[in-house]
Amino acid sequence: MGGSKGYSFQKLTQGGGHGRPLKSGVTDKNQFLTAVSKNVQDQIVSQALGLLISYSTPLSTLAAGLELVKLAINMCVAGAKKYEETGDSNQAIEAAAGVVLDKVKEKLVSEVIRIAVGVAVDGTNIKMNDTSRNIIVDSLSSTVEEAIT
Amino acid sequence: MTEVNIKEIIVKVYSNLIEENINSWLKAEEALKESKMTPQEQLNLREKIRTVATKISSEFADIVINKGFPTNNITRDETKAIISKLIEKYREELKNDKSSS
Repeated sequence: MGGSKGYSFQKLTQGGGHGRPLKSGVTDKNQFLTAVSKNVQDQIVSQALGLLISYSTPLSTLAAGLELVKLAINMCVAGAKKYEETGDSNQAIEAAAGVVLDKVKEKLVSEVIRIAVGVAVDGTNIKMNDTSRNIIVDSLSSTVEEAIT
Repeated sequence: MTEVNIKEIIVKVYSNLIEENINSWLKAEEALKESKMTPQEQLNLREKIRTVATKISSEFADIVINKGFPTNNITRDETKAIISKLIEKYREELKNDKSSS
């Protein structure tokens, strides 16, 4: 993971990266830094939440996230059914990829894909060891990335 | 029978995304420079962030599932409006909570 890659605090406050600061951002930033320096925990979290909705990129990522969750659910339902029938993770991947190619239409952040696919796999009842899980998550993530890039 | 727990998936994805954003800002150079927090205080803060992110995500999941997700289409604008409202609600609650200040 590495949320700072796309929308770090500095990038956002400076208007760099994909972020586009709003006017309220400067005040929020100062309040956030003051809260951190005083170590008032509720205020730190409160100001960070304020920043989250003040900048367009993080909020847009959250808005797009639901589409990704839907995609990951569809993939995993398809993959899990095939895995249940065959016990073969390769066939499960192929079944999941079939869903992807039909559904994906636009580009999303690759790390978000991995997070969503990873938790979607965790959300199924498929029992597998860490290695198998990683292979499936990597394969599904790559398939999604290839399909939408 | 294989089942997918939709609420669990939504909560995990959104908790992760919200946490990632907050932690990213917290770890930024400017914030760290000003920080006087001990490792234990930082740990407590991370726990607080995780708790709030999970609460927001859980309410978000209930709302979108009630609206028919994943069968019904929920637009990005709708999603943005729902999540903004929830974030603002918890933000106000924290601002008004004097117990930890």
